[in-house]
Parts: sequence; C-alpha cells; structure tokens
Amino acid sequence: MSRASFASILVLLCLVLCLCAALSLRFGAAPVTLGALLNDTLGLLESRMFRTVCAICVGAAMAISGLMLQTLTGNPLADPGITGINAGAALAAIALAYFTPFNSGMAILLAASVGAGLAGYTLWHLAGADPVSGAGGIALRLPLAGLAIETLCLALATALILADAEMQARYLRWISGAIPAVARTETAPLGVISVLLVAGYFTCERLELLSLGADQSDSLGRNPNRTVALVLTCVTVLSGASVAIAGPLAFLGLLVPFVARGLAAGSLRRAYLFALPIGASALVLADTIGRVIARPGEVHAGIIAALLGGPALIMVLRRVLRPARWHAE
Amino acid sequence: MKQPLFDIQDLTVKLGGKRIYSQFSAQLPDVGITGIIGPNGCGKSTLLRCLGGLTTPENGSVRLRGADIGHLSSIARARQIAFLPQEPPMLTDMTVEGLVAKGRTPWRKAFLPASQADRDAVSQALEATQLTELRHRRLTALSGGQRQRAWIAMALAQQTEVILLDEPTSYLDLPHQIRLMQLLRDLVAQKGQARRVVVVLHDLTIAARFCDTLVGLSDGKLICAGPPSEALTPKTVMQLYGLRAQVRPDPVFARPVVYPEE
Repeated sequence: MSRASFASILVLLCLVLCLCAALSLRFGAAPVTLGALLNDTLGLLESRMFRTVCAICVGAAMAISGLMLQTLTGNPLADPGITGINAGAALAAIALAYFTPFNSGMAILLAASVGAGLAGYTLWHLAGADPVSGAGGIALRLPLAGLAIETLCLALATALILADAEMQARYLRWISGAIPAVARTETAPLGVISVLLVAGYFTCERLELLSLGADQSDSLGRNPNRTVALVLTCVTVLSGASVAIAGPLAFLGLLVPFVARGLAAGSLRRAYLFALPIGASALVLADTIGRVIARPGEVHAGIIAALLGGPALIMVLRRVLRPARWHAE
Repeated sequence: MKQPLFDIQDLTVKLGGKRIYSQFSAQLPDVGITGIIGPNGCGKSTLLRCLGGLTTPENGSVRLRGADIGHLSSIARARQIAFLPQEPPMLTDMTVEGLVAKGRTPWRKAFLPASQADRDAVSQALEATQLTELRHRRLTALSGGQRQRAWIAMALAQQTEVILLDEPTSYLDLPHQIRLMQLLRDLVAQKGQARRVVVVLHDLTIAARFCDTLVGLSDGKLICAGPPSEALTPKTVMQLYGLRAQVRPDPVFARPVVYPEE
C-alpha cells in the first residue's frame, strides 16, 4: 500500500469518528432541539460529551487489546471478550465492590487489571500454549477455554450483583456493557487508557518480530519473552481499564482488528493506527443507536454491539474457516 | 593455523531433561560455506542454535572469532549472526519488503524511521535474491522457493558476518535447491564482504557439491570434519548413518557422491 493511500484511509476514518461523535452529542434518550442543546439549559451537552469521550476511549482500547492479542497468539478469534479476559476483569471489579469498601477509580482499575491478568494466565494454561512460541496448537483450544472462563466469571459476577439491592442499583447496568452517563470514577481508567494506547504503538515492531517466530525475534536482538510480557501487560491493563469504565463488552475486540488488518495490508503499525478510530467509531455509534431506538429507555451499548456483532462474527468465522491464510494447526 | 570461525569448547546442552551434548568440542574453520550433516536427531539443529546464541548451554562456551557469544548483548549478537530456523514460521500478512526490512532491526534506532543505510541494505538484499520485482507481494502469495529467498533476503539485510541456516532446502525441489545453494555460493564469494555461511543439510550430494567444509555429527559426537573429499568416506558414512556405502567422485565436478550398498 502506498503512503498516500494509507494517509487517506486514516484521514477518512478520523472523519467518520468525528461524524459519529457529532451524532452522539446531538442525539440521545431525551429528544431536544439543537437550539436547546447548544444553550445547554439541562446540562445535557456536558453529560453527552463525557459519555462520548468514554465511548471513544473504551472502543479504541478494546480494539487495540484485541489486535495485540490476536497478533500475539496468531489466532484471529482471540479477543478479550471471547477469551474471558474482560469477564475476569469484571468479576474482580465486582468482587472488590462487594467485599470491600474501596471503590475509588484507581482501586477498581487495579482490581480489574489483576482480574484480567488472572483470567489471561488461566487461559494461557488451559489452552496449553507454549510460553514462547505461543501460536502452536491453540487455534481451537483458545476460544473454547476462553468461553469456559467467560461463562464462569460472568455467572459469578452476576450472582454477586443480584445478591444485594445496592449492588443491583450500581452494577446491573454496567455488567451488560453500558457506557456511563454520569462521571463517577472514570478519570483514572481514562488516563491509563490514553497512555497505553500511545505506548502500545511502540510495541508493534517487537510484536511483529515475534509473529515471525520466537527464534527469529531472538536472533534479531529482541527477547521474545520480554515481548510477550510487554504485550500481555498492555492487553490486560487496557482490558481492565475499559471494563472498569464500561463493563465487559464483547465482539468489539474481535471485529475491529479484523477490519483494520484487512485495510492495513500486512503492516501491524498501520493496522494499529486504523484500529483506533474504527474501534472508537463503532462503540460511539453503538451507544448512540442504543439511546435512540428505545426512547425514552436505553439499550446498552454492549447489547447493541452483541446484536450487530453476532452476524458479523459469523461472517468472520466463514472467512477464517476457509482453508489456508491463517493456517490453523 | 588460521583462527577458526567458531570455537566450541566443552559444550554441554540439555533439552527437556535429555542431554544432547556432553563435553563437546569442535572448531569450524573460517571458510565460505560450512555444512553440518548427520542423521535425524543427532543434534545438528541444537548445535546451530548454540552457534546463534539462541540456546544457552549448560556448560562450555561458543566463541565467534575469539568472542564468547554468551557474553555478547543481544543487539551485538544480532549484528554479527543471522539465523534462519528450519521451518519459516506461520505465514504472515507481511509483504516481501516488510519482511526483509525486519532484518534491519538490530541496526535501527528507537523511535526513528529507517535510515538511508537501512533502505540501501534492504534493496541490496532484494536484488541479491532477485526479489526486487516481487517486493510488494504478500508472503502468502509467493511460491515455496520465493518465500525461502525472502527469508534469506531478510538475513542478508541484517548485514552480519555469519549466516546460520537450518535445512533451507528441505521443502524445495531440485532446481530450487540448486539455485538456493548457488545463491549461498554467490554470497560468500562477494568481494569486500567476508560473509560466512553455516548450513545444516540433509542431502549429502548437495552438501558435498556446494560446501567448503563438512562437519559430521552423530549422537552428539563429532564424527568427521574437513573438505568434502576427506569428510565423506565409506568409514564416516558407516559411523554417521550405520549405512554400508561406497563413495565415488562424480564425473562432472569430482565431488564425492555416496552410493549406499544396502
């Protein structure tokens, strides 16, 4: 792909993101005229702005953690939603709220990241991956093991929420993947996501080397174990932070990287830059649709994402299951 | 005697609890192409990985022109030794040029774009492997022989003194095998750059025809070392493979050819 077409795709994607953000600011559960919105008599614009920023960050974070996990495992089905990493983060965050009095943004973020890390660690072992060569025979085992972890963690988390009326009020909305409408404890996770999204870009080179094989990476002077550690840290903290904000969202991290890789023609760094606006636009759009289709109620972004994501997943699977390309062993 | 290229002293290597080498010592002379031969599972690949510093021996040392490889930083090592594993790993979406550019990794500066030297090295490597025309193709769209050349081009772009190759000819048909070995010959013959190639080979005829030195291994022991005509004899073939055979020079190049009698 030429430099010019890369730049024009990127600009186009950013314009799409701006359009989605504008829609998200303009339309919401409460129908208001443009004039009233701009005068901001209801404080609506401010709350919608906050919500849009959250959706942008979480959407981009999910897309990137999916992209990195897929490249690391060489498995196009690896995504923090499907592999149970998000669910692990959600369970840890809920357990923190249920059993302890800590509920600052930082505490939830830490708990969610630890939960994501534990789920990822369990997954790695259940799927039987070799810590260095990674990809091996985990094409099928990875999503299966992930499904087991996801189901277990979400069931436990839901049980903890349903056991307590106060927990229900606070977290029932969150567990189905909803973008927050009022600012509560989101500042710390938002900051962490922004930092990691920039830092993650600089791991692309290493990660791409690792995808050539652990030996190859080593003989080119990049320690493969360190790459795995860096990337997994990035994935788990991104996933933990986005779960802390918007609950366990599925599908986004699966589909967005698929599209981004297709556009990027073989360069991980380009795929990374494409995945950022695509992921952000997708979640902002899902959130806006959810607020508009069932007025005055709301359908959570997570549910919209799953509704649209289901059919899209089937398309991806058809593509993946077609022989060759990503050869599954 | 000239300083050897690789000097291996008292090498002891364990892999998965199994001892592959025990107190193994050998010297690889400083000549163009050194071929490593031997039966399956004799430790050829392990030796190559030790030469490349990818396997850390339990004991002993490997020296490259006097410098202990175990003491080099990974970047310094990557600037001196290129390594291509037996099976080029899973197919990636990368383009030929993208793959070859990866060979520049040890020379790149963090956070900076590729320098002119990087770009020159990449285009030279593509030219040497006759891949310039295919530079924008995806690896998945190439034939086996072309893909193998792309990996070699990556090692060339690394601009190392030494290139280690693990059975590069296994998946190629005869003309591609010959072309690949010819390419290796061209590399070591290039003026101004004293490149050295160490290559693990299965095919004895190919090995005898293209290598300057052969090193025969069996069960973690050094069986023979020397120019093909000295290293390949009925005795060493028996020791290496347990095979009764005659060895005769071929009528065209006068290189030894093994004729098994069983």
